[in-house]
Amino acid sequence: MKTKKLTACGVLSALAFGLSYIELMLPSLPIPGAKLGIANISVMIALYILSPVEAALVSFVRLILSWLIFGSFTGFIYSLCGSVLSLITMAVLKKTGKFSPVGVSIGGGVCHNIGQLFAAVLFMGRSVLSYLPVLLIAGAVTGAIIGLLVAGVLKSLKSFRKGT
Amino acid sequence: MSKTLKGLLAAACAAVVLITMLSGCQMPLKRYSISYTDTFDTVTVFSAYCSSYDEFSEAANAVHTELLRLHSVFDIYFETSSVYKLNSESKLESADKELIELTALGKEYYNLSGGKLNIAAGSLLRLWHQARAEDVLPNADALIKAAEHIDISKVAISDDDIIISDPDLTLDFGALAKGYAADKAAEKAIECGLTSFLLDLGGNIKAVGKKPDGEYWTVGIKNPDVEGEVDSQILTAVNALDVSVVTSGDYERFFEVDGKRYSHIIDPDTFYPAQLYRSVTVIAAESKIADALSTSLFCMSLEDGKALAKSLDAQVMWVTADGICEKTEGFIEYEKK
Amino acid sequence: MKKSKYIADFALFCAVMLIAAVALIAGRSVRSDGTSAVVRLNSKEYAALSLNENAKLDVEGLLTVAVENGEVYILNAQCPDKLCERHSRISKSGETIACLPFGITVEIVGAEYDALI
Repeated sequence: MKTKKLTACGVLSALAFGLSYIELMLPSLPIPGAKLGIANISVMIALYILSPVEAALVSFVRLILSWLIFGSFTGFIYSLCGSVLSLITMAVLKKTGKFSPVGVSIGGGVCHNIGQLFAAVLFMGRSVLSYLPVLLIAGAVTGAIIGLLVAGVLKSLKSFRKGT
Repeated sequence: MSKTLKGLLAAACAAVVLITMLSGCQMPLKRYSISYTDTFDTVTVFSAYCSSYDEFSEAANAVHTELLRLHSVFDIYFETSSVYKLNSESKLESADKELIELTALGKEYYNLSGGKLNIAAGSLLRLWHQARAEDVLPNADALIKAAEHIDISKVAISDDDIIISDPDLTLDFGALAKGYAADKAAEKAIECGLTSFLLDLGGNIKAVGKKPDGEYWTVGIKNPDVEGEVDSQILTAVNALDVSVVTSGDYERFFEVDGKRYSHIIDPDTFYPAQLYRSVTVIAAESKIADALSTSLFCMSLEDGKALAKSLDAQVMWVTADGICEKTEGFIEYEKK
Repeated sequence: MKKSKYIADFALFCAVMLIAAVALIAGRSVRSDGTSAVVRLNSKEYAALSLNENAKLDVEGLLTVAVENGEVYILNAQCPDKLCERHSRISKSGETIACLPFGITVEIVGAEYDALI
């Protein structure tokens, strides 16, 4: 991997982890699993300025770090399922070229929640499926917000992209 | 964004919001339930769909009060009950309207059941109540002696008075009282404005109306053959729409001596517990009919039972001592498929 | 007429909302009143509470399941986010409150029979 790419991944991974730490300190919304997902900003930047592969790397490293530092294995599994589905969806949506970062992030947010719900069903049974409507809405709304933020960040990174 | 597209999308969003709101917006009737253990020597559960807890509470209190009142009229052990006074003094002047009603009903059913339902069999029943408490069979001679005083013709109603001309004859309304009380209590609930409720008076069911989602009140009938975990072994279930369902069975109040089971329904002709059936379930419009019939039929042959049920427009299911299930045609229609 | 670059995004957003609304209605229309609440710990049945009686059940010191007037809610949750406590009260069959950190779910079930004789 080119040095520049490697460095970028490193920075973005650290950023992702830092953002998820900050997120923990924010007051949580009254819906389980409805996190703002600001760490996803980092993953999406990786997706846009690098490629899905690097984005996956950044996401995975961040998850491992979170698991090691915050110690929750089930949390890791839930997040892993969510991240995998989310990343695939985002890569696909981006590839179509029809969606802006907002749409890609909406797709990512919704699928992240679906992935987590799936993991929850495996662990805790079908009864948690009743959370689906709420998670879909939360995923779309937070996704849209994050998407707008990412779009803003990408604009100011134009110069960097030109340089890669 | 083009105007039409904007419009379309706005409409789509509005539709989504509207659907979501409407799905939650009907005035919800909630299900409430309460149980009492202080009436008729049994557990009573009253469940109803009401628009508020206050509405339910008011009706439940009315039901409870009525049950307590009737219990105090008919309970043979209460020293202050009307029946107790009637039994000890062999007469009661200005008797309760309900007592007169039920005495008249008892006489009517004596005739209808060919003597199998006998409210005058108190002296005989008392021996069996004692036997059940002590787990020993009553003395055969004592039974014969007691059976000399169960002649219902000795019970007379004269205006507001009830006179028993045999001093050793006592009345026991056990076969009728719960059904009668259930009807009266249900009337109170209806007076309070309730349209959907189920009253379970120690297994004597009176169900009114359907549930808000259109479902019927469902009554499960136990399989008399299963010991212990009876709740998980159901013989069948019936849709109780504005009817009363009553089951008499040998698996309720019984006792065993030398491995033989003795139920609580005594055949006035043999002086011993009836042995024809394991259970008899009756569905009828009124609970007093269902209750009276379930007791009568428990001591009657299938043929006689079918005829009596038909004459009273009631549906029946018998489980014979051999475990065979007999049903009237109408009963099958009530069953949940 | 200039097409906004956000059109597809908005359409996606609406589509998700629509699916969510459908899921919500589909879940609701089969809801009937429940008669008991089943508490599960890590997918195994831990306890069942009747909705007819007010009660409080302490689940391994992790949280308390409360039944009040036919509704169920969570108290004294020892989990970090306490989302389970903030959940609205449930009473219809199929409704569930979950405490993910502890793997505890409380689900309302409807009995088949309203009375058993």
